Amino acid sequence: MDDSDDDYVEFSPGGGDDDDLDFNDNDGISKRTRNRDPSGSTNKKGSPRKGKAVADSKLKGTSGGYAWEDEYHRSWDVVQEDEGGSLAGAVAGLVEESKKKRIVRDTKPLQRGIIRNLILILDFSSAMLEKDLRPNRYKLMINYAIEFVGEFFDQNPISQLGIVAMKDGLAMLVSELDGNPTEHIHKLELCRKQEPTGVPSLQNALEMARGLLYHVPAHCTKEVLLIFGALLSSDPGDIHKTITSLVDDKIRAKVIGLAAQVAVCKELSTRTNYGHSENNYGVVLNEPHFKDLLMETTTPLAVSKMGASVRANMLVEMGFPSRISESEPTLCACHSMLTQGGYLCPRCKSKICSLPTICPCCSLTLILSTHLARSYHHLFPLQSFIEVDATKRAIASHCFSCQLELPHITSLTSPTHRFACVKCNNQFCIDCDVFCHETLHNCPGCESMAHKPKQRPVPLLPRPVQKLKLNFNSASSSASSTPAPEDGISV
Amino acid sequence: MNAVDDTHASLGGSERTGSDEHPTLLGIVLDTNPTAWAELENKLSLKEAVESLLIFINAHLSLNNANRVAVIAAHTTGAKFLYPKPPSSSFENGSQSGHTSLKAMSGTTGTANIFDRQTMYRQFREVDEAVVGELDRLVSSATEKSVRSTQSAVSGALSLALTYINRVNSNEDEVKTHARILLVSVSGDLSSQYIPTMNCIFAAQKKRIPIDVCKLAGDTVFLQQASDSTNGTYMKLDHPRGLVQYLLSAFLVDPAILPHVNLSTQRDVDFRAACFVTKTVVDIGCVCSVCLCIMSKVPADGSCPMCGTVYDPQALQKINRKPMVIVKKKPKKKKAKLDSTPVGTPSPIP
Repeated sequence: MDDSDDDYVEFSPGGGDDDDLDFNDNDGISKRTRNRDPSGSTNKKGSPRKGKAVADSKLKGTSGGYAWEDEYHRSWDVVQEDEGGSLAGAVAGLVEESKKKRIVRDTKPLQRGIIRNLILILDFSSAMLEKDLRPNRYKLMINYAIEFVGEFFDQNPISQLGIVAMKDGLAMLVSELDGNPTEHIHKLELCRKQEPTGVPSLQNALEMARGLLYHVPAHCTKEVLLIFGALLSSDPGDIHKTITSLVDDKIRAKVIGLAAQVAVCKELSTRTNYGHSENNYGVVLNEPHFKDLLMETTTPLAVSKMGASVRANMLVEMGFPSRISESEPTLCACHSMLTQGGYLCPRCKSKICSLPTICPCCSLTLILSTHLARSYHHLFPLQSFIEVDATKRAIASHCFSCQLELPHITSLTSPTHRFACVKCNNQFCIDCDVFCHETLHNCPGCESMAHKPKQRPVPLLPRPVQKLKLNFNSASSSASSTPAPEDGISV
Repeated sequence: MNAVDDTHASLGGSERTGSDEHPTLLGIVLDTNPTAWAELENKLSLKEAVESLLIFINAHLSLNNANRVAVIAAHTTGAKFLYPKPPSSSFENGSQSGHTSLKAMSGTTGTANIFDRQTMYRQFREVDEAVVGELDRLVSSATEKSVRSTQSAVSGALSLALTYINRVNSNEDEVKTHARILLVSVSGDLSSQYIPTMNCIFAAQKKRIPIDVCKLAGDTVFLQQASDSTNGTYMKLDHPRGLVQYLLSAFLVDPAILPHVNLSTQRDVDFRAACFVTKTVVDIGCVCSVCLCIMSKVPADGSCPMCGTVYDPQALQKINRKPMVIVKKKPKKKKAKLDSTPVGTPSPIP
């Protein structure tokens, strides 16, 4: 049998040497391109064939065949009419299903890289003129990128962001690594007028990102988010060397593909994330999916055990400036402009317009304590609510927090539409559940209970605090019982 | 065609006038901490405060027919809805609750019956009866044990108010309801609820819900931050007895015309942070890069007091480093020249 044709090859377990089991992960992708592997077209039994067979098995869908051999699911068959011929019940069920999907999350407290440095690489190549995403890929990307910048700084107030564009085979700097969202949004607005042209160069863009992230201290994360619309990359050198240097620099890359999966992007996302490519490479299905993939990135990445080092644990000196109001305008240290009011650096007393920033005079990191507080919910996420079993005796008639009357339970098998907090056992409706987990990050039930008076610790003596345990994101996930975050941190 | 356009314009016009008068949902959080109210007794009793608050609520309801209100009590035993009436109590003795509150109100104070069933505007009566009735139930259910806890569940009450506002806003997509929260606060220390309260503030900020704070007693730094970051009004009352005046003049103002009203809100906000270990307020502190806890000085054992992370000793050294004065050496021209030539260019590192 000639293997040069990319046909289905049956995987025979006893066919080859067992030594070849530790084949490289990216073999699978390169095999998809014909005749890339010089030994791939041989008739020999053994390692190349076996690697190919395994690679083929990766392409297969859940039913065992290739994705394109799967039975075609017609979406209108899924929806069932009720007795009255109405679709209202089915539609409501679908809506609830989608909400449920949003609330099922991993809520293990993980150690996350809170102080982030992210380079957003945008594709400005001619492939972005495609209209498969409305109005076209380019305009949609700019719109979503602007939303992303706002959301990113909302979730990560003490982080920094830079934007790089790939155009005409070159990497263009759109905006420098900076902590001010308005600056980035302004630069992106200016990009709207540009026309995407030429071919993208992944290597140039990644090298520029590497350069921008070069000075970042070890306790911060270095990340690259690549939005890639083209299916090719025109590089001046060896991109694999660039990927290796990204790995050496501990830069983590996430790729969002707009057209199809590209082998080099897969390699990039796999190798820079310690061999895990899940969640780090996504190809968009439609516009909402694009947005979902983009907004996922606003949550800080969990620190992997492999990436953790003692150097990463640092004590950072930060200043908490107070706001002043002035009757006369004075010059600010950051823009040298006359402004009224601002913040005073506690160390050198120079006036700064906006926070968070690094003092231009004495280079002290200046933040508000609210910025720190905003990141706490990433570290101590709210535990998921569990759907109440219909057989349970105490079924609430109303949602605990919004007083909404919940539907009566007709049978013991039907869903109860009630979600209970594990700690306080109060029952909530699905809207409150989604709101609590996505926006509020509090359980109204737990917070509505009496707050026990706390003994004030004697200053400067070690007090018996329950130490917070932040686990690493490891495969072994030996998560012990998670302590309540409120017990550990109080101001 | 013109006719079509005309109707369109008139429709648009009517819509605009409608949008000018958006109904407002007002969430009121009343801090009912018994100890704090007892301290405030000479200046303003809880009963007087509730009376003022009811006048304020009625004024709010009469501004627009579609205006709504939700009242939540932040008690030491927990947060509880006063209005709309929690379902459990309305099931037990729905019709009676108004009656008992009536008795309680008139019985304890000896004043005339404030709820005239025949002549009172129905919407006013419903709210007033519910608030007084539920409050009465809450206070009478207090036990010795519950009074001992000193902190009111402000974060819980804010959470309830936010979820309620979220539900009302998500239900009525056609009629856009503005929402805001008024927090009538009397107790000072809320330190153990720092993170949940902050979460509430951020949620309100995201949903563009202003949090107005009416501070009768005590001082809490992060309630100032709450009103500052949500564009609300923070007011510390110098004369609590004039509560009704303050409420009606400062807190009844519609958010739409708020920019045109010059209110005496706090401009200088204290944004300094408190050290997690020593509880002192600091302006320059050290922050753990793992759990973001704030310390006023470098911990002696080189590990984080909160998460136990061991720090890089080099980084600690860098922070502990004292400023040094470099002593200027007298320039020796000839020698320096000689010295510099052989050592000047460093050998390239392989």
